[in-house]
Amino acid sequence: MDAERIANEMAAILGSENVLRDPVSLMTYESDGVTLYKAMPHAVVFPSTTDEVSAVARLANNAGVPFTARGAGTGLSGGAIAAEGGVIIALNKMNRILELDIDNRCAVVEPGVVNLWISDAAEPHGYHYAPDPSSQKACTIGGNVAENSGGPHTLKRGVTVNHVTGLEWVMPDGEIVQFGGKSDGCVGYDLRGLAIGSEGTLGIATKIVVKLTPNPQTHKTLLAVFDSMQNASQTVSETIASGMIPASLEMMDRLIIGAVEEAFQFGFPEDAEAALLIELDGLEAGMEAQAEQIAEICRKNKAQSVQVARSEEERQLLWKSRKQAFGALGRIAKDYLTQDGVVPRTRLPETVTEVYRVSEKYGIPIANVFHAGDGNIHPVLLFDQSDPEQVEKVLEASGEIMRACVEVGGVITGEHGIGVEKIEFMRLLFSENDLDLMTSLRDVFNPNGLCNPGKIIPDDEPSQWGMTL
Amino acid sequence: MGNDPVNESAESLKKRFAGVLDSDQIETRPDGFPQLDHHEPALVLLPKTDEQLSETLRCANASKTPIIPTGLGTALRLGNLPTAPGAFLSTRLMNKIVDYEPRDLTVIAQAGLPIETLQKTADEENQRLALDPPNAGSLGGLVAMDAGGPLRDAYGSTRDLCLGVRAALADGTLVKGGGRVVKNAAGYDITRLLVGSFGTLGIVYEAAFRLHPQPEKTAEVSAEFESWSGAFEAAANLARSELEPEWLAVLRLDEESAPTAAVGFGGHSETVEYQTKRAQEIMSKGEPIALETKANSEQARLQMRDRLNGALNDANRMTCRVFAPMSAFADIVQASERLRPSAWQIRCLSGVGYAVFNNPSAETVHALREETAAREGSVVVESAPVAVKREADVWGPPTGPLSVMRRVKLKLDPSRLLNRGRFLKGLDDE
Repeated sequence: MDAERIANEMAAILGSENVLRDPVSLMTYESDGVTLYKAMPHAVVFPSTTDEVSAVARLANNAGVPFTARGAGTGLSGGAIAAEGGVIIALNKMNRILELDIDNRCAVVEPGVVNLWISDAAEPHGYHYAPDPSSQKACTIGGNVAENSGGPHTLKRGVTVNHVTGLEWVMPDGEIVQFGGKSDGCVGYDLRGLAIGSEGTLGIATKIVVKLTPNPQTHKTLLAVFDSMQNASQTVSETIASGMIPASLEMMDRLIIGAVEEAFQFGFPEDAEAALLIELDGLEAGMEAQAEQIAEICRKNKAQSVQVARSEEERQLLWKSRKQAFGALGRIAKDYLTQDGVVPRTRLPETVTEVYRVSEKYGIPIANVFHAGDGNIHPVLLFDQSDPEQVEKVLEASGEIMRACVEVGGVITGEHGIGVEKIEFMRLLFSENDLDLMTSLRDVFNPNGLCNPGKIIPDDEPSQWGMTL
Repeated sequence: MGNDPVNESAESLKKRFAGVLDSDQIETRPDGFPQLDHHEPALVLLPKTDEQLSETLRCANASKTPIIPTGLGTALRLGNLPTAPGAFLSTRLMNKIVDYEPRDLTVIAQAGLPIETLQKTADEENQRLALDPPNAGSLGGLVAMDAGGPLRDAYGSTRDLCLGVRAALADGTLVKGGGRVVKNAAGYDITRLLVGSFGTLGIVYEAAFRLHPQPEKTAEVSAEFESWSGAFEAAANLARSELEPEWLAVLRLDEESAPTAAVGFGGHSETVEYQTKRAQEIMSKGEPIALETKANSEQARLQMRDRLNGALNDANRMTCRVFAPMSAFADIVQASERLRPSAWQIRCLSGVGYAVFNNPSAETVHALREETAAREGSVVVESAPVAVKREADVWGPPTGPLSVMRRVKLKLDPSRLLNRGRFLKGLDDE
């Protein structure tokens, strides 16, 4: 078959040690961060240079073999799984930070560089890379570009697209092009903006120019606990309305608090319904006053307790409850699916109420941890993946939650992407005309449709994976 | 002439659109628009609704009538000379605020809404759209040009603050991109593609924006230096410091002024006071010839905007926008001294500069472009006398592959009706 011949030709280009074909090794690449969706690739290849990426893309494209770029495989929408008979182009060997240009506040990196490495490298100069997905110790910058990833600090600093000024890009036919550079300015169409978040369907980033952000002089972190979600949400709204833009505003609900408490005994009150982790960053001057202003807003909204970190150790301790939330859930459920939706901030309370209703309806426990400042919710559905009935319920419940987000003016993903999981739900958000426009754009870049097929834009044939409308 | 849609008479054009628009929605004499170079479209079409906009474009498309999209007409001097005038299509009558939820800090409004009107409405809630461009009149203009001003240093340009758009494509198809929420990863970023596309892919008729709270307090510090290097060094020292300015500029407002470094702060009063003091200290180290501090002031920022606006609207002068890595500007300014720019404004944290020339020529454009390209930058001529435009491409090389941009253009506007000839050189070639 073609894929076999192609794999041989790729081995000739990359060396056979850079082409995986044995079924046991391939199993690692069967799914990404969502193990519900599985597809065995025909081969996984590891290019080391832009020219090699270009050569393997050209080979596959000419031979009619589908191909999918992949970084660390931490994605949460099935965006990096192979198409039937397809090849995975793994970019893990392209993992060098090529340049730190402190004068211009930017770095040039390869796609396989892990998100956190950039901040580690820039730290001695007093800078960091701002978008910080929860998986930042593992996820790669190439994947961040594909998914337009966010993180807790996007409230103040923005998402990937606000922090990437240039891309070296391999088009699906192998052509190597440049979008932008070290300057944020754009002459002509913003192809860089279009490429970011295109989930690997418009080509493959092989070099990325990221902005570096000066480290703030200081942080102030508060943890407020509430006995109602309504009061916690009101606190979020009032904080933002006051004119302060916290670096992050993270909310946890009772199920998360319970799990965290059971695992780590932080001392949360038993009747806590919501905990709000608020972090300010910036200059020391005025920081105390602003933290006090926020504490006052919390108290006015009947917070049960407001803790303010007095040291870096205390700050890390307060963050631990948020950062360990998923680990803690792992102790109370066999599997979990992290959903991702966005609503206007003012519609958070009713949306969370709706999530609880859905949870009750399907008998699926749902914990909520979210970036409250952005209105970006992450309901975590707890279930047993080996039980097909539960899997079906989880997908149906997810669908209902997505509908609720769209009904209040929101969207079905803020940072995880559409992937295979939400592909049918694109029809809920976009008209036929809107989707036709996206298809036209995909055809401009990817006319053969071989570059990561089956993602983002729904086909006439319903998808075999994910949520159904 | 009646069979030639490119050069046909106003009367014949009028007849064509009479089935779609009422007579008061077709103006024969562009009202208050600056002269659009030597090709002056005969009509302004003024749809009031999205259906009318769609029908108007459908009609234009059926008859192959070229269209020059516009809002209030304040930035028509931007762009290459049109190769086909046809008719103006203005969104001026689509000028409502559709939805403003202050607690969400987001607003949705129609493209023809004057920016000033939006700012007034937001100000009543102590909020603002953090964009302060010199010459965009309407929200649609902001979007078409990806406009920004000094505040770009802290808040980004229109691209960063526009959350979603609704647009009519060249054939009248209505589409949307993005949404009204501040974070959105659903589908391709149509919003980013349309922002800055200069009306060549579709006409945006509605847009959602992220707003920011008005700063509690503001202050400005500026210092004049004997030389450019003094001003650039002061700005570099400010950029390297712990300070978090709303804008940081190196400028020379006119030929009489000295090179100046200026910085603006906004936010919590204690923070602003501290930063003002520190900025004075940092600027003083460079031995300025004058140092000025203004509390509760936005005067310096607004003065930059107004001066630039004056230059952009002067038919005899030329204003160039320079994009480059931040550290390249000191060299670019020095290297272009021989071209005798009368003014410079450089936004130091976003890598955008503006150079104004009193006696411009195509040679000036080519020379500035050469100096800038050598430092990984690009030059766009924002406004220039017609004689200069005849000889110089105002956009220069794009920051991405023209071949891909051409394919995008041909997919979305196959008859090349929208702004033909006015955008990138070669974009509209068969």
